Amino acid sequence: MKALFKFSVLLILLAGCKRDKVDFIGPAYISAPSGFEVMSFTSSLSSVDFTVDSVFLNATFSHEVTWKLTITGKKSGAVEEISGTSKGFSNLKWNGCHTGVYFFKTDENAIATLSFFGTDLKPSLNINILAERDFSTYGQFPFFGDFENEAGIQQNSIWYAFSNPITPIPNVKQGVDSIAIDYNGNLVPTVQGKNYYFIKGKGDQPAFVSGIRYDKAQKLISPVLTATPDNIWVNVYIYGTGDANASVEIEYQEAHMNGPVPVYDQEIDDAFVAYVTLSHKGWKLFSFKYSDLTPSLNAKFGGSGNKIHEPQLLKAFDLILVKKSNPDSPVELYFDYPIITVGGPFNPSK
Amino acid sequence: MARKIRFTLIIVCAFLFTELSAQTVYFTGLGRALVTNGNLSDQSNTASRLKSSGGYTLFDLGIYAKPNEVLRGGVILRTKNAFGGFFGNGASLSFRQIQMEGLIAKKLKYELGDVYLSHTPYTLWNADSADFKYEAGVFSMRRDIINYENFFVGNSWRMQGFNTKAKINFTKGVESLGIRIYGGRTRETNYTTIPDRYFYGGRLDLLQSKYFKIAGNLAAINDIAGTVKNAQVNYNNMVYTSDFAVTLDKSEKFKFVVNGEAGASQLELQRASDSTDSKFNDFFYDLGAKATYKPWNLNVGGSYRNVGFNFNSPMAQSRRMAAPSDITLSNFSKLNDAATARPVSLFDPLTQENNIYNQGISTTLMNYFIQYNIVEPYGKATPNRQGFTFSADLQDAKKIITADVQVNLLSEVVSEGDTLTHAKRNFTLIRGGFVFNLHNLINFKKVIAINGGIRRESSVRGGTNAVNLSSTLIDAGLDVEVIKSLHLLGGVKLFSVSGNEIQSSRNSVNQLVAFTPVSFNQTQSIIAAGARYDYDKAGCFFSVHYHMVNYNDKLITTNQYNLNQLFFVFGLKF
Repeated sequence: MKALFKFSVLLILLAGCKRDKVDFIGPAYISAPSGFEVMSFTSSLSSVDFTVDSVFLNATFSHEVTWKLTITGKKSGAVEEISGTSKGFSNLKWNGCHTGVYFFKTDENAIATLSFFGTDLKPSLNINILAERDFSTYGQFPFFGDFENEAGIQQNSIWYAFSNPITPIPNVKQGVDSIAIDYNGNLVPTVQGKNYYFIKGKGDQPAFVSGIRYDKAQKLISPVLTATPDNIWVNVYIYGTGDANASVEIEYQEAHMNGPVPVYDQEIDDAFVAYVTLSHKGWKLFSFKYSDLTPSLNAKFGGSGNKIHEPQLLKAFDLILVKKSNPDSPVELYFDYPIITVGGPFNPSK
Repeated sequence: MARKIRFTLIIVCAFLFTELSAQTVYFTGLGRALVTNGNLSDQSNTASRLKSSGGYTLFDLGIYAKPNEVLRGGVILRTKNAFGGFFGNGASLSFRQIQMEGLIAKKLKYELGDVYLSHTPYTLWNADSADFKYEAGVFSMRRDIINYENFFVGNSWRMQGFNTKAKINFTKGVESLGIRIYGGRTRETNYTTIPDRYFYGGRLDLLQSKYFKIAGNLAAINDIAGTVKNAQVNYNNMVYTSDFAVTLDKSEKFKFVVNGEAGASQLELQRASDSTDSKFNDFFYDLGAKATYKPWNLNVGGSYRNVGFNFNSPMAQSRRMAAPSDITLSNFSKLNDAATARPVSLFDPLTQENNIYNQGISTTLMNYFIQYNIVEPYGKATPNRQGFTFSADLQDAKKIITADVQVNLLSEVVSEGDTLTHAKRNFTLIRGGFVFNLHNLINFKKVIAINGGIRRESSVRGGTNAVNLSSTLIDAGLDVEVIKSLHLLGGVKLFSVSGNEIQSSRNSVNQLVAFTPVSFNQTQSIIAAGARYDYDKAGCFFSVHYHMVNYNDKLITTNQYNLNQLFFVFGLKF
């Protein structure tokens, strides 16, 4: 009985524990009361060319409520979301940006829908996208880096599919596609535009499968990056299938002026690497601060430089597909829209 | 593949040759042949039904070496051949489990490799919030396969690491002192920005006598600084608790137990990108009492819990089912001529082995299907809950009837998102069921058993942002042994959910960042019938079932379908 008494005291003590007083947690919102009405919901344009114009949206409500405006691309699945708490909004600007991973597409119908807490009212209107927003100006965008011009990839000496030790590398397919089917049998949708680049197969070596290189002959990444390495981000969209055996090494290569033109010499220059295991599912934007990239561990391939991040010497980059643990299991890589940004990661929501 | 098989066989043979000669090797095995054949009719395909078939044969061979009485090493090798595979095409060979265990100085027991770990419901616990205790044999048989394939054993998480425990017995004062320490890695570094993430924990328990025991527990997850040069984040979470039980057992008829667990969590996340340092501390307590009436084997209990809204215990709050965005349906993933994705039904978690369950620890509270888990999506450690739980269970000596019921009357500790009226949700969760063994009542040698179960959940809030969502799941089953070892099985599941709720989104430190309104008005039913033949050895059986699934979403008419599936399984175990 003594023990019971002691634990009754303990129970009372515990019940007396107090937290700091908090009235509510999470973002505030107000549900629509009964009798709530949307008085108007309009758009300044029904068709828009985002390379030169923006859409302005207006709405008025009967009560102050929390609202969410969701603009969804019917083809792309791209989404732009804006929310607020008010009796309406005027000249709410949409410049073709998106909050989700997918980009809106040219010649696509988008539907703008208003929704509210506490009511099933969902007024909507259509907006026809004549031309998608150009995000290539957000940073330094490689030539043909959206892979829309397949002939440009193949004909111009800028993008090079790997060809070592023999051409083509056995058991590998790579190129531009828009309707690839992954090893799980799922369609790989496009994240931006109409195409993406893919590499898939088992390759001919235990780990290395294949890769692709961006290298504009005789030129550094142009214009030359003058920002400090901790203010530069390298970004790329990569599709994952959840396969932890698949990994991509994104290798950024610097070139010292060893001659009249900059040339990356893999035995004396630096290569800095980001390692990405493709265990995620679907498209995802990967962004790495340039100063966070690690020097190549391979002395013969970029591991023998001064190991100082010198983005002003950035010349080329590779995406290399490797098998991490199972050399007998084929792997796959789909990527799109590599871009180098200054001041922060690539952010197409602004 | 052939090279791999050859290599493995050579290793296995060499191993067997050396070890068998010393009589230190033994084997376990589990074999399964499974075939399904299904069809689906939806809103667009009523004229031409979609059909699918699949299956596989697998064999898990466990090879254990025991060189002496205190050391054992084992590996489980899996060979699997997909239905339709031919001459090795579609076949795979993999390691399912590697484990070593032993005893040091006859006191310290240790396990290394793949270990199954559970601790307490607030520290490390694989909560099964699905409530299928009283489902019919036609369903539980399939769920056993799911659990085996996803390494779900009781409330343990399968992890890679170590687990050690020791017990010291005393002759005076206290009966024994136990100590347990475990640890491992939950995430591997990417060598660039993501550091290695480790978990560890321990328990020190003191058994004073059969009347009193008390224990201290610790469970933590830490990023290891220095495993990468520039870590994007530095995550540290620690949960420390104490649990106790006081037992009064001096009467022939009655026994009383007072027990509980109380503790706190500390979370800190530093993020390099914006130099933020987020810290959240909170606590919980869960105290209860239980009385047993021994002649009837009847237990009646009640408890009160309060779990703070910032209580973070990733190893107890990780969900068994994957987040909706991570789920890929492998069978009939699309509806209506591939125009819409098929919504996940109650049938899918019961039948789909891969891409629907989570097997790892998530440091953020995972999203979930709110219609299937309204009250306790993260088990007892669900944050922002307070209230009473009452329970009763009964099992008579002749095992004629086993029954239990639990009533949870909970509410939020703090209102979510209601700035004006600060209204809190009230939750009700009632679950219970029974197994009635008629054959024991009438002293019939062959099995005649009926089972039934119900789960009723609701969430209600008034104020400015009212919600009202409720669901009911009813289970019923029948098992009749018509001739020796041949069982006829039948089962039904009926599910309905209606009302509105608010689905919340959280950031990397589990703070609420957004709310999305959701509405439901749907019914689901699964009707199944089949037969099972048990061979003399436990675990060896042959079974065939037919399942009829109806999914009826009254708000989204394109989400209405019927799915029928013929299921055949042969199981072997030794």
